[in-house]
Amino acid sequence: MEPRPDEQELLERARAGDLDAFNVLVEHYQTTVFNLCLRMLRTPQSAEDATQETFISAYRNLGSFRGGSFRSWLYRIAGNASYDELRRQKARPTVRLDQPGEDGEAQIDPPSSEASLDERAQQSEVRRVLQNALGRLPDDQRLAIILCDVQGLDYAEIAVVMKCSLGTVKSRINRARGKLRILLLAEGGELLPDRFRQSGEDK
Amino acid sequence: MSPFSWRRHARHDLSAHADGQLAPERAARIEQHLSSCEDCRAEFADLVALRTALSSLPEIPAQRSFALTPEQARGPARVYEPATGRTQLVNGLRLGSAGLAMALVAVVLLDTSGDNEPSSRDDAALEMESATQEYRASDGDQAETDSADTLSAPPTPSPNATLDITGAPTGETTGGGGTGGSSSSGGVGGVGVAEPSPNAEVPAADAAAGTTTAPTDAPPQATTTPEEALRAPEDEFASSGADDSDAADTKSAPESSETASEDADGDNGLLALEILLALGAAGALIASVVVARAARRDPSGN
Repeated sequence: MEPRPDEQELLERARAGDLDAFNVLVEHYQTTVFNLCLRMLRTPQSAEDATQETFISAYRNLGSFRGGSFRSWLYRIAGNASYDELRRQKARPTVRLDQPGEDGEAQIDPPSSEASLDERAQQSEVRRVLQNALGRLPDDQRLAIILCDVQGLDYAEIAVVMKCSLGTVKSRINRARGKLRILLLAEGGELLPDRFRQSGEDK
Repeated sequence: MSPFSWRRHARHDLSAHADGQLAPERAARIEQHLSSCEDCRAEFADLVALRTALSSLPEIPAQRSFALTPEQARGPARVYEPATGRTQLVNGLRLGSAGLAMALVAVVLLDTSGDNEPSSRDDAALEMESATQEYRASDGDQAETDSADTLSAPPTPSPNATLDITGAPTGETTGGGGTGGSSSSGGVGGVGVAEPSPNAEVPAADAAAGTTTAPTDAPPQATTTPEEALRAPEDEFASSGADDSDAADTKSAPESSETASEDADGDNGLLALEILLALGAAGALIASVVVARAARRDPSGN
């Protein structure tokens, strides 16, 4: 990421109607927001829609941003935009989040190019399984675990983003991990690196 | 604390411990427990592995810029406060129409309670029940998420917590206007035709006619809302929601009028229906006024 722009000043200017100033913020945050939406929604197309919606909403509602962390505020809007998109998808169920995805979803996580062929196959398989398992979590648990593990937020910031208590954050993440663990164990042990692969080799 | 309950306790903390989010004292106790409990150690290792795997998911570059164009920035005039106000009003209407639906259930149950067709009565009640549940489900899934997560009970000032930050930019809420409006108008239409006639046979036909017009009423109503015309993608949801509620209404209305016509003392049945529906309508009015007022007091919804 580029050196952090002077967020406060850019926000002031954006609030006064300076769209260019706001777009500097957009450029700065768009990758993280897009990835948050992508992990929530899985398909790049709906993630792009939710991301665009996030920034449009943010710009038009800048007046209601009352200071604090702009990032948290933005993530909250992104979470809501994702929820909306999910609700829309549920209303016309052509996309099933809880089904293993075939088309167009496998390549959202391209394996890194420096790995060997075997490793790359393994990597992309792990990611596919992980993403499928994420898709089977309840929405709020999925958002919590994405904010925590993928975006690297601490519990306090997640509580701000999700407008809930620390205890709720903790229990959502706890439950999300518990379910993911069971789902991954059911998929076959060697998909999670450490313990499972070791036990496979030992036997 | 007994070893057993301590172990359950520890398992509750394992995930937070993997994140390094426990207070030092608690973390130390977990560590101590891990050193002596193989099951927990294995589970903890899984959680750490899971965490590592998730956090090493690559960041996918966006394929385009999301910088706003001046058109997007201007866009449809979604001024924050009025939009919220309308949303609250719409929620009031929804509450009201849900109330109406409940009243209809009550009518069906009351009218058929002395009757000879318990199975069809149950079906009707079930249908209506599922219809009202669909309502709630479409009504922002606050109830849904809360029931899924028993610990999540954050008090929220606004009825639709997931939307208040984005300033209700979603067609889901605005589209709800069509939903609530159309279904309640369908219900009220049914009352209107049932009311004046003392003859039990006529309302049955009228009500059926009224309900067949209700679905055709709904789309114009939905499209007259300015937000929806401007926000095409969400229309699908709104219209599907409207369809659902209309379907429920069309099913329930002939049912109730039919039972009324079967009723030996049809006047009593009609009277009960009128009273209940009037109560429902009054409830709708009060709910929308109350909620609209609450919205005015806290326009930001923040």
